[in-house]
Amino acid sequence: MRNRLRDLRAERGWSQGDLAERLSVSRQTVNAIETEKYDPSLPLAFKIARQFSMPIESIFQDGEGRRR
Amino acid sequence: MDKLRDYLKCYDPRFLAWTIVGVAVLFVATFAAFAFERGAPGRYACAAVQAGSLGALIVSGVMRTRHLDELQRRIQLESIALAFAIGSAVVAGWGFFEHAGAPRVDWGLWVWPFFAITWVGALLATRRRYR
Repeated sequence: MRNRLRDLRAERGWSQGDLAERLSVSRQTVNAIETEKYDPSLPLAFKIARQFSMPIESIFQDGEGRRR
Repeated sequence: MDKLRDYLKCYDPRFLAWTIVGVAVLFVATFAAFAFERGAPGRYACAAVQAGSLGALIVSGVMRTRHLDELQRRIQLESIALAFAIGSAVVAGWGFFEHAGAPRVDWGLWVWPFFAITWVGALLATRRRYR
């Protein structure tokens, strides 16, 4: 699953540690999501969306839409 | 410093303390038991301490799991599964060698440190996948 987490975080000037703190997860988790090695659970994805005040689908894309 | 803070956040230091205490008590009681004859009350007391020390390891396991976030839990799950598979294969494999004449290993004592080492190895390998 693709995501814009790194860009959105950079726009706000947050470090991975800052975002991890806000999401109550480890910095490694934020890094793994940003590098697309790990797809967050739905609750965590909602939490991320709330942090950026954006809908989930504008942060995470599964790529299915482009194939249709 | 960030890495240390991250580590402490994910891996509660109390977990380490409980594990060290549990393992230390287990080893001391195990070696103390050799001072008593089989069937002696002291031997039974040591066995009770040995069994009780396993409780500390359960507490440490619960503490550890509760402090993990979802990725850390996945890493733990994968590493435990890997460690279990490797550990079981080695213990069972060594059994064949014992039948062939290799030295007998007291797995009742050594299975814990062996699984711990296998778990740490599997943990390091699994963590690399998500780096």
